[in-house]
Amino acid sequence: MDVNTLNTLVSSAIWRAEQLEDLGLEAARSAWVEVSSLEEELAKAIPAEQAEGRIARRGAVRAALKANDVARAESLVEQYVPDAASGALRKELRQAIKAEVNDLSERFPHAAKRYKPTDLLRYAKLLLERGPFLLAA
Amino acid sequence: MQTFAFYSYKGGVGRSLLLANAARCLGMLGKRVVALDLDVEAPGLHYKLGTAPDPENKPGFTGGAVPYLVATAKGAKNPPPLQEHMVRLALPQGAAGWLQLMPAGPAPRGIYWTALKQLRQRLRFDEPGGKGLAALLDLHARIEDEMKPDFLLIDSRTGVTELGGLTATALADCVVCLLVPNQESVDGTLAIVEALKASPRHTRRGSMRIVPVVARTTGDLATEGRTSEGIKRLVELGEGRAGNGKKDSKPFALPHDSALGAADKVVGGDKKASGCSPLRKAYLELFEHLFPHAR
Repeated sequence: MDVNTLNTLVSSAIWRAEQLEDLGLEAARSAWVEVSSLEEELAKAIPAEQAEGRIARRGAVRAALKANDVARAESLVEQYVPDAASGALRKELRQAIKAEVNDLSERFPHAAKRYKPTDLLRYAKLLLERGPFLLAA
Repeated sequence: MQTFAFYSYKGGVGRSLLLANAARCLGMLGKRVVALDLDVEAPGLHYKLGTAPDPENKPGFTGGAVPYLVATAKGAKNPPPLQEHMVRLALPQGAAGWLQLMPAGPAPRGIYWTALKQLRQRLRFDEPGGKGLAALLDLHARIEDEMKPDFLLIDSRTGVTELGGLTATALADCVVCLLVPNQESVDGTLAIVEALKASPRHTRRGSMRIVPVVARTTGDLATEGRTSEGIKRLVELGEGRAGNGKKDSKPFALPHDSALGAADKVVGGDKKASGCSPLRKAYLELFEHLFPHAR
């Protein structure tokens, strides 16, 4: 798919996600997942040396965080850090993840004393994928 | 603190009543006990433990697990005081321990269902951002840090739900699985127990105990047939009367007791009440196995 089409899709996906979020609807989360996926496709198509490439990488990570999918955001950051092209972008991506993880620790200090936030996030993702009692294959 | 989750795949098996009896019995034995009702869609532990709401619906206790979780979900920097969500219960004279209940909330008053609706809007237990999971683990850890009980007994939701699943997989050191001796109950319980055995230990310390308990039995349990084979398999996977994972072990069984069952009577630790009841004897045998060092 060409970059122009992807840009159009990203713009409309962001608009939709924002509207759903404003309405407080549950569907906002899946809309942000879609935004993150489209931004990821754009990031594949545009190198990080270009401003648009950096915007796409930033967008993919931030949309994953908006969707509460910290594990996906982390995995994208790992993917983008080697070719982030600028120290500022690298720092910004890592900072975004850190802020999310710190928020979890600050809000739930008793749990944070016992469990690493990254372990919690990994388990939360597993629960989402496999459902209650991890029954779903 | 040892955490016990009382779970049943199907409802109406006497799960909350067993928990209430265990809590009272442990309190009588000098233990510090917190009972936590996480059966949020159909809460009833407060009835079993004698703190049902005022029949005239007068404003009274408005705390509990659901209002507490709603308050933490707002992201307040200062978490709500835990004691405002607990009810201290009276134990018979001479009891050396204490028993506190964190009910699900002031159910069945309207404010409870409003709080439950708010909880569903603000905190999902399966969200990948981990806030639902962290909120539950935080409550569990806070009870341990601030109240320092010997035992936390959790009434878990029936069936397959996010909160029921988390209670068993993330919080419990021991899951007491109640079932009745019919195929539906046995098959469902087997699926859950197999899943529990296979679940990774992300948040628990050490291995998980699983104790299947067959409830509402009349006479001896059948020794042949599919239901019987299922119960044998459950005992192999968990713990039976002869110990952990032994093939020849018999399951713990709670005989049907129409008098105690109909009245939902809590007899744990009560020397006078229904002293000769087979159900009471079965409770005591089970409690000795579940809490071997409580005496």
